Amino acid sequence: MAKLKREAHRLFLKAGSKPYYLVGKGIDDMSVEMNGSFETTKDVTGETSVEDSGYQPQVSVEPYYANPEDDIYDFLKDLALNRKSGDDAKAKYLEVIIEDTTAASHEAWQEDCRIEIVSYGGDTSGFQIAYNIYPDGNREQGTATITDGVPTFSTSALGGE
Amino acid sequence: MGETVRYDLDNYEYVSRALWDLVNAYPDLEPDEISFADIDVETGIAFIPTSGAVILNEINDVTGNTTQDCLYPFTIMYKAGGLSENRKVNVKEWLDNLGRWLERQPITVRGTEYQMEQYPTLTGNREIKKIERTQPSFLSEVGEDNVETWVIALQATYRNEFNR
Repeated sequence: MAKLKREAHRLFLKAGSKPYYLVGKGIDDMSVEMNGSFETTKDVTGETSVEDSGYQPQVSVEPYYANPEDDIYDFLKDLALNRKSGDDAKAKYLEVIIEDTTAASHEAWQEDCRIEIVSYGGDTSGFQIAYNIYPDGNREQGTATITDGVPTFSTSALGGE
Repeated sequence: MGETVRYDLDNYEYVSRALWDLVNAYPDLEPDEISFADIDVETGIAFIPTSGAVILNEINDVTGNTTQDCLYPFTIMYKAGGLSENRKVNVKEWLDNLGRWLERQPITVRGTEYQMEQYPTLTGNREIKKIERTQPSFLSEVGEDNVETWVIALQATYRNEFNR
């Protein structure tokens, strides 16, 4: 199998009852920063040990060019312009790995998240809303089918095609 | 060593047609019409692409989508013979006014103000972002029988998006 293209990893965001929205359009570099906390220590015997307290992942989405036709637009506009946070900033995000573009379903992970508005406005290229996605627990592994660009997540096991 | 110039070969035809239709919508044109890259020896108005559409910028995003910003240079050529001094001024002003109108600035034609609200919608995922003059109109050539060729140079910037 050849190496996967960048678009093989897709990240979707969903707020309220709206369908999942594909994040990353117009962005040529976007990563899930894992922010791992790993510490190596070496004792007097020369042995090395590793302690870790896990990860604090985060995704920075910048730029997002605001488009009222996007399913995520109203939610982001509300957070930014009405200065909302806390429970109002809750959403769900979905990661899909597409190893075979001809497959009917793909490995996927869904998790709760919180959205932080970083800034809005931007330069003259368009009205931009920059935001961060913070995973917030209840992570589930399952599968996703994608129809007309919209994914449907299921916690049923792989192999049910 | 200079960078290789890349041309948008696939969309050139669509954008050419759209721009040609647009210049023929100029409020101060009738009863004339602007031909496409074809002008009579002694008289006429023509839309002439200067070169191919150049890809200025291309972003391949993480979703598999490609966005290209392209530049399409063109000229409008106005040819006429036996022009009086006043007519020369009128021709120059006519071309400059066409340029302003294409830039979506307000213009006045026979006492009526016109301003293009938005650029025409293109087919597919293409969008004209702006049109601007690169030079004011000027007398390019005086040929035989004192036939004058006046020219205004412009460029259109458009965006094209597609999935790779």
